[in-house]
Order: sequence, then C-alpha cells, then structure tokens
Amino acid sequence: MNSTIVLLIFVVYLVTLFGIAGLAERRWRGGPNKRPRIAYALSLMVYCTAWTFMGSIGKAADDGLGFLPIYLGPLMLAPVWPLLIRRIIRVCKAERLTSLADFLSSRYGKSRLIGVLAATFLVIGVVPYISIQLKAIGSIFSVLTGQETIASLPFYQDGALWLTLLLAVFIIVFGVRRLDANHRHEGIMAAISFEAIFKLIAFLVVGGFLTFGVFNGFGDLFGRAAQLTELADKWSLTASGLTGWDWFWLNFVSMCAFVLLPRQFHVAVVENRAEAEVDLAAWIFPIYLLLINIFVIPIACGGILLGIPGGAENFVIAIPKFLDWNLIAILAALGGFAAASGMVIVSTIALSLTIANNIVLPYVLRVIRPQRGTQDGSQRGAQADLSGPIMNIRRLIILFVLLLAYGFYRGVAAQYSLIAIGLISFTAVAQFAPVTLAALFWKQATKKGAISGLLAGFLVWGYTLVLPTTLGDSLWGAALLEHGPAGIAWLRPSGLFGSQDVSPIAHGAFWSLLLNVSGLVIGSLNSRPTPLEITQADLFQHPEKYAGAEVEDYRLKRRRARIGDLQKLMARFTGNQQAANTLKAFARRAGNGKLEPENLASPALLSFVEQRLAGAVGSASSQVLLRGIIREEPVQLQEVITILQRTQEAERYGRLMEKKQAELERLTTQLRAANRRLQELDRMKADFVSTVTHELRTPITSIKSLVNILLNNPELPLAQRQSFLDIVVSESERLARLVSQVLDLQALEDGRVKSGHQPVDLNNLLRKAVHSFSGVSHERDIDLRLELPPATYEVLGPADRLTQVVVNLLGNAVKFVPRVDGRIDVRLKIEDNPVLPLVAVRVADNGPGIEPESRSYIFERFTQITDPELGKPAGSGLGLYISRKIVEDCGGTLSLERSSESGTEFCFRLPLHRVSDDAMPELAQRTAEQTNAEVATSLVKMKNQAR
Amino acid sequence: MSNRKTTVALALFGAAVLLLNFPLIGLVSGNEAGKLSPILIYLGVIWVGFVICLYRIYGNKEPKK
Repeated sequence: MNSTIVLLIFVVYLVTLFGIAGLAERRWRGGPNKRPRIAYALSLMVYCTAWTFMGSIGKAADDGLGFLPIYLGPLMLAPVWPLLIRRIIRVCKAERLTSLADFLSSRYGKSRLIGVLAATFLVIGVVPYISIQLKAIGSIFSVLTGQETIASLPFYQDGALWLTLLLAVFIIVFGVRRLDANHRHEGIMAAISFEAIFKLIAFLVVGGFLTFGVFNGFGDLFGRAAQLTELADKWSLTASGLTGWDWFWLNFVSMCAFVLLPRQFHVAVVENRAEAEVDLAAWIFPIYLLLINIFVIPIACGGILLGIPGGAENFVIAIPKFLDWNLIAILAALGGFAAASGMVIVSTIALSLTIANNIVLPYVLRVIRPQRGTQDGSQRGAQADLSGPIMNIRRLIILFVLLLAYGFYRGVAAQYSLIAIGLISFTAVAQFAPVTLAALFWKQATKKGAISGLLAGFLVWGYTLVLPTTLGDSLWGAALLEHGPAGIAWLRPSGLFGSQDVSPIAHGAFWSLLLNVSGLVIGSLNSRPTPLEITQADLFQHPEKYAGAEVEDYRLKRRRARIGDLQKLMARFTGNQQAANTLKAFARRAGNGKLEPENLASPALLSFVEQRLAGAVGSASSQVLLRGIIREEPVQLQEVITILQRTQEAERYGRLMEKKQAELERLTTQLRAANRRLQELDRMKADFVSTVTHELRTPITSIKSLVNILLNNPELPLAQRQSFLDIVVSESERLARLVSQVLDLQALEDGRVKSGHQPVDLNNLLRKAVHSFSGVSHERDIDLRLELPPATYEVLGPADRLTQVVVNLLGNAVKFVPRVDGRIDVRLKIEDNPVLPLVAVRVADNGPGIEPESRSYIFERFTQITDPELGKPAGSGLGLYISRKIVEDCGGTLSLERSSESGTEFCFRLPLHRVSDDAMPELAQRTAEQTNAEVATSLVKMKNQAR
Repeated sequence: MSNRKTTVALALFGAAVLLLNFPLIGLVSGNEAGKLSPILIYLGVIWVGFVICLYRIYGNKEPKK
C-alpha cells in the first residue's frame, strides 16, 4: 500500500478523533451526569495498548500462554479494585491531587523531595513504554506499506514521527485547556472511550474472519495447530519458559500496573466524576479483557499455520494483508493505532502533569513567587498572570515527553520486543505499590521510610532489569552479568543471592519489592513523623473527617495571610475576575459575609486557596507559592489549650448526646408500651362496659317482661305465676351479684376492703361451697368431687370472701366442663413449704383448657376466655381478678397450675393457721408457734416468689 | 459500601488469587502436547464466574442524583 495513502488514512482517523473530542467537550461539560458512565469504564481499557493488540499475539506465538498473566492480574484485582480506587479518589478530590506523585508527596508531609523522586522514577519507567507504542505505530506502518524498518530511515521519512507530532497537537489542544488540572478532559475521555470500542471491534473482526472464514471454527484451527510440531508443545509452562513462581510475579506486577500506571491513575482517579462510575467499571473491564483475549491464541496459531512472514507481533495486520483482505488490514492497522495512540495520549497528559507539578513548577515558582502585601511597580513581575506561562510549560513538557519517547524508540526500543520493555515498565511502576498502600493503610509510614523504600526499590529494579537489558551486549556488561560486580557471584544482576532458574521479571520484581518494603518499614519505624505527616496520614485514612478547614487546627504553626494577598495570588493563575468570584462563593458558603482585603484570612480560607492552587500547580508548588505570602507563627499555648478544651467539650457533648439519645429511646419504648397498654385498657374498658351493660340488661329485660306479663295477665294459673316470680327473684339476685361484684372490684381497687383475719375452717368452707353447686352439677350431669384430708385446716381470712373465691372457681369450672362427662375435682392438701406450711385448694376440671396466649392475662380485669364451642361465657370477666385480690389480701397466691386439652386446674394457697390433727404434731407445733409477725414476713416472701 | 459487601469482595479477591494461580499453574504445567481445551475451559469458567460475581456485588446501582 502506498505510504502516502496509509498516512492519509491515519490522519483521517486522527481528525475523526479530534471531532469526537471536540463534540464531547461541548456536550459533556457542565454537569456530573452529562457524561455516560460507560465512558469511564471504557477509558480504563487504555490498559490494553499495542501490547495487547500485537505483543500478546507475538508472545503467544513464541512462548505459548506466557501472555495471560498481564490480564489475569487485573482480573484478580477486580473484586477489590473499587474499594481501593474509591479511597484514592476521595483523598485526591479532597486535596485536589492530580497525579500519583502528587498523591505520595501530599501524604508524606507535602514533601517536594518525594514528589521529585516519584516523578523522576515514573518518567524513567514509563517513557520506554510510550516509546514501544511509537515502535508499534512504526511497525503498523511498515507492515501496511511494506517499507523498510525504521532503523534504516532518516527520521524525517519516518511516518511514526509525523504521527507522533500529530498526536502531540491533539494532546496539547485537548489535554491542556485549563490551568486547573482537576478540570476533566471530556474530549480526551471521549476519544479514548471511542478507541477502546474501535480496537476491540477491529481485533474481533480479524479474529472472527480468521477463525471462521479461513478455518472452520476453533475446533478446526486448534486441531490443525495440534498437528504442527511447532505448536504442539506450546501450551505448557515449560514451553513459555515460566515457572509457577514467575507466573505469580507476572500476575502481581500486572495487578500493580493496573492501578499505578500514570495513565490508569489519571483515568481512574483524576477523570472520575462520581463514585457510581467505579461500580460500573468494576464488572465491565473484566468482560472487556475477556473479549479482547478471545482471539489471541487463534490469531497466533493461524499466523503460524498460514506461514505468515515477519514477526508474530504483526500477525493481526499481516494476516489480512497476506489474504488480500485490504479493508480488514486497514481496520486492524487502525485498531492497533488506536490501541497505541490511546496509551500515548493519556500517558503523556499524566506525565506532563507529574513533571510540571513536581519537578518544573516548584523551582520556577520559587523564583517568581509573589511577596506579602506588594503593591508597587517594582514587584510587577511577581504580579503577572501566570496561568498562560504555566499552561505553556505543560505544553512544552508534552512535546518533550513525546520527543523523548521517540528518541528512545529510535535509539533503543527498536531492538527490543514490546513485551520485554512493557514488563520492565510494569515492574518499575510496581515499586510504588508499597508506599501507596502504606499511604492509605499504615499511619506509621513516614517520609523517610517512603524515600528509603522508593530508592532501594528503584536501585534494585535498575540493577536487575534495566542493566542486563541495556548493557548486556557490551563487554563489561557481559562480564558483570556473568561474574557479578568485582567477581562477587551472588551479586550478579540476573542471579542475586544465588537465585537461579527464575525469569528476569520475577527475579527483578521479587528482589526490588523485597528491598523496597524493607526500606519502607525500617525507615518508618526508625524515624518520627512530623506533625504535618501525622495530619496527612490521618487525612488519607479518614478524608471525610477533614471536610472543610479543620486541618488548620492541627498545625503547630499558625498561618497568617491577608485576604488581599491571597486574592492576588489566585488571580495570577485564574485571572482577577475568577479569583474574586471564587472568594465570594467561598464567603457565601461559609457565611462570612464580605471578605475585606486587609483582614487576615481564616484557616478555612487558607486551606481553600491552597487546595485551589494545588489543583492548578500541584501540592508542592502551591506550598511554594503560599510560603511567599504567609507568615507562620507558632501556636500559642493558650490556643492549644483552647483547641483541647473545644475537643474535650465536643467529646463530652457527644457522650451526653449519646446518653440522652439512649434515654430518649428507652422512654420512647416505654411510652409506646404504655400507649399500647392504654389502648388495651381502653378496649378492655369498652368490652367491660359492653359486657356489664349486657349482663345488667339481660336480667332487667327478663324481670321487666315477666312483671309485665304478671300485671297484664291476672288470670294466669298460680303455678305459672309462682314460676315467673321465682325467675324474677333469681334474676334480681343475679343482678345484685353483678352489681355487688362491680362494687367489690371498686372497693378492692380503692383498698377499702378490710379483710378481717379470722380463723376459718377451710374443710367446712369447701364442703358448703361444693354443696351449693350440687344442684347445678346434678342438673348438668357433672361429676363434682371433693377430697378432704382427715385433719381440719384453719386459715386466717374473711370466710365470706374465701367462699366467694371457691364459688368463683367452681363457677368457672362449671362453665367450661364438657356437656357430657363433665368432671370437677376439688382437693384440699397441705404443702410443707420451707418458709411456712401452706394449704392448697385445687379446683380442676376436664374442660378444653386455656390457650397458651391467653394464660398470661386471665387474671386481668374484664377478661374472659371465649371457648370456640361454647362461645363467650356469662359473667363480667372480674371473677378471677377479684378472687386473686382476696387471696393475696389473705397472704396467699392464686395461680393457674396447669392447662391442657384435658382440662384446667386452678390452685390457691394460704398460710396454714392451725391444724387439728394430732397425727401431724410437728406441723401443729410449727403453726402454733408462728406469730402474726412471722406470718406477715413469710407472706411477703411468698408473694414475691409467686410473682 | 456495606461491611458485608466488602467482606464478600475480599473473599472473592482471595479466591481469584488462589484459583488463577495454583490450579492454573498445575493445569498448564502438566499439560500434554496440544491440549488446550482443559486450560481454556477452566479459564473461561473462572473468568465468566468472576464477572457474574462482580456484577452481583457492584452492578445494578443507579448514580445518585
């Protein structure tokens, strides 16, 4: 294919990308919900670069399954990735951090040194990775056009250079639009989301056409591959040259890379708009990784089976070209270009922010930072608007990074495979894992520990991976690799401390991370954190605690600055109008009213301005800028005391509130219970009134109608008149009984009933009571039995009331015995209680029993149990309540002893006053010796036990 | 995120680390020449299974308005 045409195709593609980015900038700006959530998830797939598109196939064709760990690492991380990234997002939004270097610098005491170190190591680790993307673009170009390899062409004839420059223009236009780096690059996000879809479709099309167009599906392709010796033994670890140990470490560095690569950090953290985007991405990206890997092995096998010339890395383009599928070849080429360019775009933006904020600007701004209260012309240079120069610095850095990457590609990367350099970059980025995790989860990590860890890790990384790769071919390099430095074999770069049969990546990753973690831990434990480190450590673990300006309270030096100076400082980066509007908005939110320029800024305003500046120039630079206008005074003892007192009061108030709340909850529960009880009582009262009035009305109605009959029918026979009069009398008695019960109840409630304690012969009482029921029992065929002991038992109490109790119990039993074979047993027995002897009167029937849920309230007032067969019984529902009251007045207890389907048994117990039987002399002796006082004490104890 | 979901996510992470390392290494190490299917089937099942579990944990959430 003609190289001009190919170049034109790529230019058209880039122009399309420009268009998409421009459209997105207009449509997605302005609100958090304007950008589709899927765009965030797709943008994470910038992880899949030309390495995925081309390098994986090359790796699969050469080494079998060794390409898989690059994708298994992120898959393993997927379940906890949202937990980790959300935490990082919260901190970065709170502190307005825009890169990994910013993040680490801020955590470890806003250290400029850590910022510089992190930025430097990131550049060293990632620029080679960018260069291999440019190499991939060059390879795509070469395969399509059939041109010679890059190394033999002058640079101005290298299509990759022109495409790189075009990419630089794209990145500068859409990547540096505003000074505030927290401003989201909607155009960039749209572009890389588009590229994620495009490259996936391109890959699937090539794979699909090959698998189902050339071969007859997976079975046919793999079957033919199995017959080829070259491919037959590929699918084992041995063929790939990996051991289980290697596999593990490749997974691990891939996991770290998915979070810590600058491009991943940028899209996942800086470009995040809402935490909900993280949830969608959590399950979308594993699906994407699966889809983009489905055809890796088929394409690798297909390329070998078809005998495609050239390296396997180019199979994805070379195969359709070989088969004269020109459109698919172009699609594949553009897919590869999309994969490479996406990585280049985002990585360059991320690196430019990192370098600008941590390396360049802190030193530039130190020279031109504003001074306190400057108004005169001599300081005019210090007052100039810096936003333009800073944005130009970023643009230059973008160009610098890309040209550096291109230079690396021309000079070094052309000799190495995508995979080799990619994995070395992954291992470099993995060095940030210990300090990053410590930043989030280990408060004791200090700046010194972080520096020690990073330095140790990168030194070992360079020694074990970079040195053998870059200098292995030189004389002294070969000697070093074989014999170690100064002939010390156990310090060989590829076999530290005697390690053998380990892949370079696993070897390098293990030793570098081991020394990294050791340096971090030992350095942290052997150094004391500064107050700022302590504050930042707490902020990183609990960002929500520090919403607002409370962090100022934790500084040991009080910072003072005039509001006017702060406004002028902000104006240099945002313009006068914007600075004024921003401060006004802050004042409105904080309820501060108008901010006078001559007044001192509040701590909240200081922190606000610092964060705004950090968003523009990085945390370290914002510190530099503020130092020029801030006066620091040590916090006075009185201030510390005030802060402590405030904290103490807040804690005390908090505890008081907790107590009050618990009390309130308890009272609410009680009120609810009381309300329920009142409602229940109300219902019971209503029931009682209804029952009593019904009970009253029934005999009155009966009396009234019978008397009317008697009055109106004087000629009635005498027998009938007698019968009617008998009924009138019995109904009147019934009426009287009911009224008497109600009055009794009232009297008992009021405590007006004075039960005289007279000796009562219980045997006799029971006989009389049972006898009074003999008529009823005979009439209703009830077997009524009385069992009395030989001895006579006497109790203290009112005889009539006790009779009322027995009659009531018998009356209830009569109501509930079955119509046929009804039986009631009345027994009197002695119970030798250890406190004092008791007599127990038991009344048992063979009725249906009382349901368990009703047993707890049968002794309540106005309560009646309704039998399903017999219906609601006659009576007021007061009998048991009154009976219990009477028995308790006499010092006894009345309880439901048992209830089942075979019957019910009530039992009341009273203290034995006297027993007449000489056969029980001991008992007689005991009862005789008991005084009233002892009885009273025993009664109280017994009542309490019964309750 | 609720404590229960965090615990489930951590457990799934542990399962992923175990299942995607040791059995896979064992399968690949002991693989006979040309026999890709056991490895690919194992991988496919685990991969799809994880996606479903991830969807159960993190899916079906509407953005807060």
